[in-house]
Amino acid sequence: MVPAGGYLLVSALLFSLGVMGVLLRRSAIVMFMCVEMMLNAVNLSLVAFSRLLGDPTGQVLVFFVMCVAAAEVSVGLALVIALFRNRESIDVDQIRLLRG
Amino acid sequence: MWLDTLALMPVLLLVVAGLLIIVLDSLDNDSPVLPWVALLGLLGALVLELNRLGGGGRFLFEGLLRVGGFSAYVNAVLLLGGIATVIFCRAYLPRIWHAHGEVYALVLFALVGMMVMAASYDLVLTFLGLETMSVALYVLTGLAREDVRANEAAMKYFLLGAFATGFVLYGLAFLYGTTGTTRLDLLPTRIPNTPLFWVGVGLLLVGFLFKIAAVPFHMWAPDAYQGAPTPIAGFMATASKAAAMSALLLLLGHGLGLVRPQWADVLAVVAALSMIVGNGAALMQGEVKRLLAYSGIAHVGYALVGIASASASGYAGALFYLLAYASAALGAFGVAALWEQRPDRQLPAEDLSGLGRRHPLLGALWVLFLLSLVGFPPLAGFMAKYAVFAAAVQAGKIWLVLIGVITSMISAYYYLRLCVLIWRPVEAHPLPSSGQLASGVLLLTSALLLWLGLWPSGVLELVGRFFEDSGLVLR
Amino acid sequence: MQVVLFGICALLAIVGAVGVITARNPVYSALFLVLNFFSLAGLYLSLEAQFLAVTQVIVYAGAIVVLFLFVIMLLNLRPEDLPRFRLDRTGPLVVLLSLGLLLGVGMGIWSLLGASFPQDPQAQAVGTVESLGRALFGRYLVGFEVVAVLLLVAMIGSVMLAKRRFQ
Repeated sequence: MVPAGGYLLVSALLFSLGVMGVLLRRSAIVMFMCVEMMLNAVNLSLVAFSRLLGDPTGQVLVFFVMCVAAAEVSVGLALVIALFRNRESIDVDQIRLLRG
Repeated sequence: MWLDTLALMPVLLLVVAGLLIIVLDSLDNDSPVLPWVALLGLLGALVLELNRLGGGGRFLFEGLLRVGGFSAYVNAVLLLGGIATVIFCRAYLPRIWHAHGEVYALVLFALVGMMVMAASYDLVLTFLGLETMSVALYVLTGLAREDVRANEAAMKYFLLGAFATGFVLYGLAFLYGTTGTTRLDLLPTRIPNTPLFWVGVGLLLVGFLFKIAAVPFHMWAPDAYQGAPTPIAGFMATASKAAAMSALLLLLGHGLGLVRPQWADVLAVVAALSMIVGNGAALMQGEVKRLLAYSGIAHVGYALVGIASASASGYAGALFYLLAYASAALGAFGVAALWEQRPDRQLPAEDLSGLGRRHPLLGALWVLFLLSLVGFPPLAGFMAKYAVFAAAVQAGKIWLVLIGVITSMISAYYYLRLCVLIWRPVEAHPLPSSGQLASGVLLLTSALLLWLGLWPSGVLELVGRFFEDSGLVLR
Repeated sequence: MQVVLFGICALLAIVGAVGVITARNPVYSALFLVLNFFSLAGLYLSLEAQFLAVTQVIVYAGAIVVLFLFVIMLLNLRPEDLPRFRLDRTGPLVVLLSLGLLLGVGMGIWSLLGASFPQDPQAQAVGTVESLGRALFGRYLVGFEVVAVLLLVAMIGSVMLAKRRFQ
């Protein structure tokens, strides 16, 4: 039987990889993917905690997070499309119209 | 169960009004009736919330939510913001060719999320409210979708917001894993002293500080406000901050009230940084919406001084501050929305010159709003600052008060510059978008500022009653 | 059995994650993301969370990644259009930051490292549809309704932002 710490460490590793991806990549679409990976990593922690505590709240939260992720992705991709129509690029480093 | 559902009537009213707007919009596209439907729903909800303002709070759905008292007060502030936003949108959006009916529905749905946050006693529900609010605001920010500026603002806001959501959630997961509960009413009895718990609290704080745009997680706010339609920027600056701040207050003050010393100093540092950086950066801004964004960051700092005092009077001061700031900032953004006329939706400070001569009443109101933001007596901003500073002195955080007073004096420079600018003898353009209703809202908010400044004791006593001496939100 | 499932799925999840952030072509990133999501579903199975494992496959692999792929195809992004990293200035700092985060969280997790999952039937049944359904439509009914509003907002919002033009 794998102890809970194994799952939590995998989750922490995936979360850090997601953070790294968001901060390193320049393509908006890949950045979204990395955000999704972060949320998924948290889900793994939540399921492990829920199983450890024998309490369904964590898994209910995972279910909600999936809905939130779906909502965020649809809005985010709509934004990507709107940006691409105007700019022909989704490189987040190239959009610098706003000062600051 | 049914009685509990009835107690959620203000929220339900907004949902129903939002759905009605969408249905009506599909029958008669962008009909002029839609803002009225939204206003009707908002006013109904406001009346219901004001009605239960005085009574104590009441738990619903097995302790999931708590209505009345604290949440009624915050919801009233939020609804006030919603009403002003809808009315300014009605005057402003036709001019930028975006008078879409959906906007009003999205404003209402964002408010649903905010009101849920202010009432929620379970972090699961707080998270859902936060996300409902955020997703609606991402869309509203990018409303002018043919404009690259709006795309860029919405994209930045979205990417950083989704990133922060990840942190909120990870913190929530650790909190749940180490305490075994997400309920704020059970949390105080179950606080463990393991490092993982504190990692969770830290991650959760990072996420929340991002949502209220406190330094050092404030970078998105000026860009988002500059690209968003001006009334929506006002909505983001006031309502979304008030909602996230009250959720933070519930989490820290109630859930983690027993371990105050551990988080109070962190929050004090964040408050100090927000006041310094917000006011310092505002000094250098030439665009009015950007300036107001930085001023909003500074004001978050002042409100956080109240929370960082970690006492009943500090929390009450922070709540009073939210109302005072919201009224003044809504007014300032409202005047900016009415006066703005460039097709690229920018409002450089020089554009303001001549406003006062052309429209003396509007100019006088603008001065009043800015003076309240400075904290000039006898306006609401002064009483609000006094309330939070007094609490901080009691809590022994004199250095924080010193920073607050000095930065307030510095802030007077850029606010007064904007006040003087409008009276320059320059030939100014006529008011591009006006409306009796919008002027009425401006008059009402200015009256509110005067009333709160001259007779603050009523509201101060009211917010004081939400907290017991222990500092926990109990009544 | 559980150990084997955990080992394989954890390895694949990490490979998928590394693939997402290093692939040059966004289509490959999306496919690595599917790998990551599928192996997480496997991990959920090893934790006896059957319902979530199925939902994970349906929602993430079935809907979210397909949406990503649709948009990539729609925008017709070619790999060479896209600069990949911004390693120039902030790269090393970011890597250090992420490692610091991992280290901090890992140290927090240390105390739980050896905690083993309870084996009583009640704890094992926590991930069943029945147990989740009771929590979801009992205590969290209001949350469920709020999610309905959230999904409506997302639907209206994405149509508003991505529609070609308003009439």
